[in-house]
Amino acid sequence: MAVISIKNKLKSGSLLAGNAYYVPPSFESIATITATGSESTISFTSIPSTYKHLQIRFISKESPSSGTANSYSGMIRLNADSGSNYATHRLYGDGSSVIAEGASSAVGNYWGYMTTYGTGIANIFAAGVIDIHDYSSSTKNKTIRSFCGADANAANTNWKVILSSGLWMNTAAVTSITFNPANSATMGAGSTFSLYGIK
Amino acid sequence: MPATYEPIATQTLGGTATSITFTSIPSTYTDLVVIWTALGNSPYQPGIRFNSDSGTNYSTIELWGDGASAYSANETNATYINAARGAVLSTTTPSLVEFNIFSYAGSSFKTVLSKYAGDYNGSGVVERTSGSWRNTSAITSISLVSANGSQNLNAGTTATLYGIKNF
Repeated sequence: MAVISIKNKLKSGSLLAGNAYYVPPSFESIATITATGSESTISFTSIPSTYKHLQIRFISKESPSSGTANSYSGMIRLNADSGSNYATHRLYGDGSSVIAEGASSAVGNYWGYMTTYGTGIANIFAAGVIDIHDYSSSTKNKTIRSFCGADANAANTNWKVILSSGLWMNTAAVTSITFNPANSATMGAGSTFSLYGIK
Repeated sequence: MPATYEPIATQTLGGTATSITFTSIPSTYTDLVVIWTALGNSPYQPGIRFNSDSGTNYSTIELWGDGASAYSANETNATYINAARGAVLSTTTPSLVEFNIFSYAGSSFKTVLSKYAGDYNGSGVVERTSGSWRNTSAITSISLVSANGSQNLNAGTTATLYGIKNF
C-alpha cells in the first residue's frame, strides 16, 4: 500500500522507513506493434493527449518478394490524412555520396527505411527513432523528425543513414500515426514499432 | 507504471584508459542507449563493440559535415562500429557521442544508430552513422573503443548506459 508522508509529501511504496519515494516516469511506453509479415500498414490509434511529445522507435524489414529493395521512401501519415498536406526533407548518405531531397504538398512525410530479404541480409533490420514534439497542440502545425538507417557490410550504395524532417499542415492534435511502406511493400515479420509518450 | 527509460550504469574515468566497458547487461529491456561525453587524445575515433568481439564483424555507413563540406563513407569488415569517421576527440573539449542499440537481446543482427557532436572553435564535425554487428547473440557487454586502439580516453570522460523497455 502506498503511503504519502504528511511531513514532506513524499510517497513511499510501502510503510517501510527509508524507502525511496516514487517518481512517476516521464518516458512511458504507450503501445507496441510487431508485424506478422502481411501488414500493408502499421497504425497507432487512439493516442492519448496526456503527453507533451511522442517518440517512435522501430526496426523494420520488408516481407520477402514485396516492394522495392531497401525502400527508404515510405510515408508516415497523421490522423489518417492521405491528402497533400505534408512537406518533407531528408539528408542521407549512402557510403559514397551525400544526397538532399525534399517534397512539398506531399501525401506524407518520409519516415524511415526498410531492409529487404536477400542472401546474407535476412537477419538485418533497419532501425530508427521518430520524434513528434507538441503532438497534442490544437494551435500548431506538427513537425516530425526521423533518424534511421541500416548497413549490411556491403561496399555499395544500397545502404543508408538518413535524417528526415516533416511538416503536417494541420493544427489538430495527433490521435493516430500510420506507417506506409513504399511501392506496395508489406511489413516483414518481426518489424516492430514502439510508441512512447514523453511528459 | 514501470520505468521505461532508466539508467543501468555509469562510468567516469579518473585517469586515462583506452576503453570503457559495461558488462552483465540484463536482457530485460528492448533497446539500449549509451550517452558518452568523451575527452581523448587524437586520433581517437569513438566506436563501439559488443560481447568482447574484436573480430571483423562490424560495418558502418557514415554521414558527416565539417563546416565546409558534407561527406559519406562506409567501413566494411571492421572491428568496431564507428561514430566519428570525420573527427577525433579533443583532450580539452568534450565530444558528445550517443549510441542507440535496437533489439539488443533479439536474435537478428544488431543495428546501431550513432550521433556525434564535436566542435572545437575552428574544427570538428557533426556526424550520424548506421552500423551493424553481424551476430545474432544477445548483447551482454558493450565496449566503447577507438578505431586506433592505442589511443587514450582522458580523465573526466563519462559514459552512461540506459535501458528502454516497451510494453
